[in-house]
Amino acid sequence: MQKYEKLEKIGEGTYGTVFKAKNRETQEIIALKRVRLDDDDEGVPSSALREICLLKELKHKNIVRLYDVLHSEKKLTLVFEYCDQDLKKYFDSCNGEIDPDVVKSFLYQLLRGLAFCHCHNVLHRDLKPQNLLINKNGELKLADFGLARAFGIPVRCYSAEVVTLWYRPPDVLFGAKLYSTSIDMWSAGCIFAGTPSEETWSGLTQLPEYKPYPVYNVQTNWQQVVPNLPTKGRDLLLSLLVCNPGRRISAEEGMQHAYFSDLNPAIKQG
Amino acid sequence: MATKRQKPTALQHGKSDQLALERKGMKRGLERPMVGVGKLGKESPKKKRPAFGDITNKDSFTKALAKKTQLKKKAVTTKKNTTVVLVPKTTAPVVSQDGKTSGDVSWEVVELSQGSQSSQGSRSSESRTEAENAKNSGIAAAASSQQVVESNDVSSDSLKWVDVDAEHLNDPMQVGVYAAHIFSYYKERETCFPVTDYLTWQSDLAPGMRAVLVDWLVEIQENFELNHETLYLAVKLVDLYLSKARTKRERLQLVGATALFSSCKFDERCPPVLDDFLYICDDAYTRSELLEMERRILKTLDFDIGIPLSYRFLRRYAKCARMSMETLTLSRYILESSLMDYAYTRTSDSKMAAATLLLAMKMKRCAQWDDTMIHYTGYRHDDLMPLVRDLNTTISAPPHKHLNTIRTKYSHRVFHEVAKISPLSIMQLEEGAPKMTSTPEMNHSA
Repeated sequence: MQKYEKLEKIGEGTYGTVFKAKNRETQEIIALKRVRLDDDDEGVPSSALREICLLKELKHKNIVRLYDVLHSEKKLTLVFEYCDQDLKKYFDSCNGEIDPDVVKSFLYQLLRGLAFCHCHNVLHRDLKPQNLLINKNGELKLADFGLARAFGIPVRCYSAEVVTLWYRPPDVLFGAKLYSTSIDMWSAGCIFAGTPSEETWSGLTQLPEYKPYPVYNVQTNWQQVVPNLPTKGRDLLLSLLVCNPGRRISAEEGMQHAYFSDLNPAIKQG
Repeated sequence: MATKRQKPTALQHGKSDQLALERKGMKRGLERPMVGVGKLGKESPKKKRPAFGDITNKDSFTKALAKKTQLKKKAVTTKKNTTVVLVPKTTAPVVSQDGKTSGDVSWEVVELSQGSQSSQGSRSSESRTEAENAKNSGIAAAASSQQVVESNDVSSDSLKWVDVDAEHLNDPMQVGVYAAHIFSYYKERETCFPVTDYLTWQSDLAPGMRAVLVDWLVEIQENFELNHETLYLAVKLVDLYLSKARTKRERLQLVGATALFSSCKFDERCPPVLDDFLYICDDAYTRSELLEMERRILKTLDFDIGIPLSYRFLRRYAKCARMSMETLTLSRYILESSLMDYAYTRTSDSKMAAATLLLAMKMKRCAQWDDTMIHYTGYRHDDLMPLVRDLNTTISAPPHKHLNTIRTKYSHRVFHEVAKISPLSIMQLEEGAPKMTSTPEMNHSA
């Protein structure tokens, strides 16, 4: 690990420890995700293998860039572009007072990153604020592809044990193993709703866990759930949080939504 | 056929086998431990293993043989039996389901029914196919407003093609919104993975050894109930690795097993564990050798193993052609058979898929290669014909003495016994879609 100098530990990913580090040659700050490999275990963990392979394919400004992979007998190190914080920390630092334009910009970038994944045959399956990185230019990037996978058409059965509970769509909560791109759209909706006020939303997301057939009285609730969201935004949110996965809006369609009509063109072009 | 396979020839099926299985943690194997040993009893794997060892096993065949006959004769038989025991177990769910899908026991069947329903255009078991026109996005509107599209896309001729995704825009399982984009992306991307004519310089390897390897991989795919994507990916990894790294024949099986190990991790929901792979190699290699080979393969291929596979193209194209399940299965048989033949390794995956489908359509005397097919595959009938002829020759060849796994597999009724369908004579092939004649075609024994 001569090439990189570890600076500090940032956190734990699905399968490895993440460090902030510096490239000694270029002085560039990067993030290292390190996985220890034991001779007794299974070699490269499948989550790491998938993350690497998928990120090799997915090169997009709204998806975290994988620069390099170092693979030795003892450890596997993924070298990523560095981002200052994740969306969760960003929320926390704002104390619930987030500029509506920033919300719009983040959601748009999230949908754009997702549309790119879905067009390239990849489901993320673990979208949540902790896995969305924000850099100092206000760019949002999808990260942590440890649960991601490539899907076939038509889709096969995949694991129902995906997506952190609060962001898991009702069909998958009920054990659906047959799902596709719509799984990520629900999570996107949860994140969107979570932006103004996470507390009011969280009660709602837990419902399906306890009741087999939750009755959403959606129209009356939303005003209270997301009081700060303009009508168009609420309309988009409702399109994302449709229980029937077949009716849930796609990332591509979401980007065309009227909510984004007044989005800063610089963001639209990226 | 099914019953034959399940016939309990449990004589060699000792207790130690099950213990070994338990130790190996082969969960799936344990679920039905008492199902019989049909396939081995039949002969093929028994013969196959030595055949394989003959060519590639770690030490020379004689050495291996010596080793086997020496100290652990018993252990070796045990292992052999266990390997074999896996066959019916894994086959059983497929057989018992026989088209009726339920849950996650067999992806194979799930897949099949999905495929077939695409041709019927409706989905029975799932409630989500209420024909909802709820969405009226730009994309949906653009795609569904016109069922027949005129376009100059392919080869600058104007084609009249039917939008096969329009009816699936609201079915999330068909991924109608993205399907067209994904496949055009695949087609672009497949060119990034060229297999070279590596046997010209891999002086220690020969086409026959590769065929043995592929036959063995198919057998494992069946035994471990792996997805077909996993099998196709493993074969592709082998070819790509051999395109770049000089390999000794005694390491070929290690390359194959490791390629499968990695492709399982990439595609399977519950990949078999490393010990299973050592075990199927009859412990010819050690754990650290396999781990080292994994590092080698991934490094050589730069971890870039999300490769567009012929199998995926085929399912797509069959859907575009609205083929029946049987015709799709026949194409899959032809495509899988082509994996055995080194000569096809340099043909692009999309073209292989298109050609096998076209050949199957000709054999089943159904449908024409119309504008819709040209649009979706990018290949014209005549572009495909040379390959179709080659493939027809391949499947017309008399069965190989030992390498029969694919033929046997597709002779099963789960696979509509498509391997038993008579190949076309050269005459029939050139006629395009010949009429059914009363005389059975017997004229292609050569």
